[in-house]
Amino acid sequence: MSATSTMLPEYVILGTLLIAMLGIMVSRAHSTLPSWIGLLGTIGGLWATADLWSRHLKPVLLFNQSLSVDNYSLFVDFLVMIAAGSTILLGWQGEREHDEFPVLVLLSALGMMTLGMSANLITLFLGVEILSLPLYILAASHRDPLGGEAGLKYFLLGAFSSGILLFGLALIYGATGSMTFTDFATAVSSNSPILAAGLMLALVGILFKLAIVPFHMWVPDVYEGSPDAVTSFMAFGTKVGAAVILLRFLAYGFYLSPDAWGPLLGYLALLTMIVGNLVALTQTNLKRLFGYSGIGHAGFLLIGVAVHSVVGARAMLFYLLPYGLAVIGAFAIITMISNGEKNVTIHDLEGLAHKKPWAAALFIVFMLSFAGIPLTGGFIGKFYLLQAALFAHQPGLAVGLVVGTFLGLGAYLRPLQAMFRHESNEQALAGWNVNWAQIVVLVVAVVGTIGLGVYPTPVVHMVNQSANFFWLH
Amino acid sequence: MFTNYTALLIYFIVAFLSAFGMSFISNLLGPQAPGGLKKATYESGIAPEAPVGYFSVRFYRVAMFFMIFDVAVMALYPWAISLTDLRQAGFEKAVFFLVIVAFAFAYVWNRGGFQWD
Amino acid sequence: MVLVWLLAIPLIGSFVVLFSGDRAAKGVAVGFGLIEIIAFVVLLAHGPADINVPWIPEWGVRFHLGADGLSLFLIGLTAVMTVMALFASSKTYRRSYFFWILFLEFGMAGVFESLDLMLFYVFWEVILIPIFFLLTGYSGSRGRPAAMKWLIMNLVGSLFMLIGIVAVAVLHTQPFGALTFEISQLTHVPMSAAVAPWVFASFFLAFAIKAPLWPFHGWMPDAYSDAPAPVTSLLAGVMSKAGIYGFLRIMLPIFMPQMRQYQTGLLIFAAIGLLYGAFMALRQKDMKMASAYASLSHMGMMALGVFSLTEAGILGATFLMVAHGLIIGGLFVVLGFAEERTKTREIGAMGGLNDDAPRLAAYFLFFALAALGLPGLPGFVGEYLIIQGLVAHDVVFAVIAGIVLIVAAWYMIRLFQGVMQSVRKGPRILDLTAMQVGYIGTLALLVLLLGVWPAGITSHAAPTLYHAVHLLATKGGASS
Repeated sequence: MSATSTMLPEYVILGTLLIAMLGIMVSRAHSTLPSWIGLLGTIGGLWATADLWSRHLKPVLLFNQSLSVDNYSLFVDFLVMIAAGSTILLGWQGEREHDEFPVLVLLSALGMMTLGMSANLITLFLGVEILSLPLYILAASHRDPLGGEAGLKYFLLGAFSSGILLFGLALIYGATGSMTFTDFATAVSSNSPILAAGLMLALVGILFKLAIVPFHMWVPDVYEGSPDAVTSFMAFGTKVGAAVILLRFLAYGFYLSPDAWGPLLGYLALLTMIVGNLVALTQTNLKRLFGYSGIGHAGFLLIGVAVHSVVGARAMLFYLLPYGLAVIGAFAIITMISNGEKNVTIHDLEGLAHKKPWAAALFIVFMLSFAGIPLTGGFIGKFYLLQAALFAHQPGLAVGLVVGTFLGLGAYLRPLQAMFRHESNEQALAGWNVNWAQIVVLVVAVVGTIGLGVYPTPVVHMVNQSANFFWLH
Repeated sequence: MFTNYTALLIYFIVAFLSAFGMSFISNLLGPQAPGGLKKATYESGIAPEAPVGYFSVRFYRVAMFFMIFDVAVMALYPWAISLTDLRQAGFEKAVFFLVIVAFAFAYVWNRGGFQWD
Repeated sequence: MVLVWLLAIPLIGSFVVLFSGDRAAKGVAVGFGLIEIIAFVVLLAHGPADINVPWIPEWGVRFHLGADGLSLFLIGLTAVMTVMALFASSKTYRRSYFFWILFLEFGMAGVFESLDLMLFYVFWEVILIPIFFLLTGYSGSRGRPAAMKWLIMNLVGSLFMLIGIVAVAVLHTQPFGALTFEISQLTHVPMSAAVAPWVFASFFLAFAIKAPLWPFHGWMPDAYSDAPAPVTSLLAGVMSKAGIYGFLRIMLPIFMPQMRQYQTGLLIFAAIGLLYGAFMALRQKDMKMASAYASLSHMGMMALGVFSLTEAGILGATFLMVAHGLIIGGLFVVLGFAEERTKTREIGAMGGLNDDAPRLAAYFLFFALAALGLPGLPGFVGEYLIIQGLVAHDVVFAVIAGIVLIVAAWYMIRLFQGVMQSVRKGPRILDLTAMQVGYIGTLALLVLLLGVWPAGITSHAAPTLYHAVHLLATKGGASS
């Protein structure tokens, strides 16, 4: 099996973004042509991924063991395609987005896919950078002070964390003499201080991208200032990329010394779940609210890594899907209300249940999925994470998950109750606007969320195949 | 004890001393006449018009394009050296790389990136 | 298959309601409610049923539904009381109200049918959502905080129960290997002394909050009194039984040794709740509040029966669940009639409704007498069995239960006198319409039937329960 055919999804995305650039060149300003190309490209990428998946290939290492194409990376490809496609759809309204919007989204998606495959330090860093650089531009793509602040903040802090990450990777290389993850565990005794320092610094770099407390400070401002579609992409895609590379990095490179990082990540997970959801309680701006709740969800994801088990890996991988679906669904509603013009607050939701009952009903579904109520995918995800925590004999993590869920629910209830308030806000819903692209996203999100909640078996099966290869070598 | 690294160390010390020594000695021995025009910005002999500090963003853009394409071309040096070992496969990949760079160049050109205003 | 239909009918119905107009909503909803009753009659005719298919095979989670002597009549109670609530609902409510009522029926039927812990939990939490939105959108001034309180308290309980569920399943894998959530297979989970109390507490808390039992009833007064009367009748009549049902279905088989260990403490808890509810009912000025506390007291009675861990006590609790569901549900519907006509819930502001509305008064009296446990009516049968069980275990608690029966007579008669007799203070009111007499009369007939023929339920329920009690005898060591 040649490299070209096993990396077909990545090549499809790369080709698509070049063609989309060509499309920008030949079409007039604010044309939808690049978006169409990008959308078709993501569908093509999905098809390519599904095709590869259905062939049940053995894992292959490409480019001198720097990329590993396996079910894990293919599942990540699925997630990234959903994130990228939905983002292009949510940013469809070309008026305020730049022409390069779909291209940048696809480029960032390519970085996420690289992270899914990455099996050595070079591709790890490359993936992180390819993911981040387009996002810096996207964050600042609206020319208002908030957007500028978001872009600058994201860029400076992101560059800083990249530096730390790079330093950590260099130390690891220095200590082990190898770039490949799988060599680390055996290359040198694990109590080498240089290796330990390198691991810690590299973890800081990755945890920054995942927005784990205490490396989360950039999230609320960046989420608030960025355009809605970009925020949804950050909330979904970035988390996918950062979480999967964290898992593979630790599970491949440091599986022999889980005591060195497992408890640390466990405590960080606890802290993140509690702090993220607690601060979310006080937010009135919806994007900030989702920012903080996203921090809390990152804490949930971290449980799966911290327990260092196959069940944990599977649970984390599974949780990304319902979380992401709820994110894109909720942001679809937000874009309908904001129309790209304003920052949506809880007050803008007032009366939604009476004026737009269907949108309100869908919003309820997504909030309940965030909160982990049964018959939505979020519940199944939390259930899986609980299994992971308890199988690893970590009742503390289980209780933390429950407390975090509980606090989060309080945060999600406030927008819900606001929707049922009677018309007290004349300004609310003034800019209501719906286009077909948002409806497509909504349908995908709601079908996925309910489907995962009612019959998760196929996805559970997929996830179990994806994370099967760990600890076999 | 006199290894190669000791030589390197001596080299560093000598380099450091000569660089800082020279500026220190010139400061010590040279004539001192502070103030006046010496503090003003030098603009080819013309009196400066506006307070310095703000360059037009166009300069940054040009600098950025220079950096991007310069760095891209720099990747060709190691390739050129090892071309004989890499043979045709290496050649194909470099061509692919150059096509992408050329594509980016065309894109920037098309989007008006090289226009001064 | 009829078990699946019992779930599918309200679910399909709820969405049909959502797609029909506001004006047709009530009619459509009542129609689906009646179909559900027909489905239940079919189930009754077929006898015990069981459906068991894999749901998430990777985790050993199965879609396992069953109706045995314990759950059969609770399913029937759900069907009947939902129709009563739908009939009693105002036509002016929007369709979302009827959607949520049918969705609630779906959840409650699911709770009573599930034999897989995971499935049980799914329905257990599904119940929360419709009640939250019914309280938020359709109740009085205190509805919004009541909804918050309802959701937060119940979620605390159920989320910790989720940990408990997973913990039980994980503990089960240690000697037995495969992951399973089947209740019948989890009965032999070995639990170390360090773990057992926590797991036990996680389940106990969830069920005690849902029932509610004292001191976990914080959400109850506001929710019961401010919700629309039909919703209250569902809450008190059916939903509260889910808590007691949880004790019977889940805690008895899985936690028998712990139940024995903590039995005295549990009995004291239940007895305090019984007394507290009764005396609080005595001093309420709001008629719905008084009935709410009466209901709290009755829940304590049922809990006493369960915690007596005797065959008679458990059988009595099972019977009382169904009987109390019909009675208190009917009582709240009747209170709703009175409130709708007088626009007040203050006992002091009513009085004398008897003169204008003799039929209303008659039904009020009937349900009040049933609630206080008049012999010949089903409440008495259940309470008698419970007291019999308590005597077998510890006569002190039997005496307390007996005293509370007297207090119950006192507060119910006081309520009836305050609302129906004495001097009328407000304007004239209309009596029950023929329609209202039609459905409340049917309910009263059902209650009467249960009172004179309790064996209809007990003969079904006894074998199942004897199985459970037999189980506890072998597992818990000492027999009853």
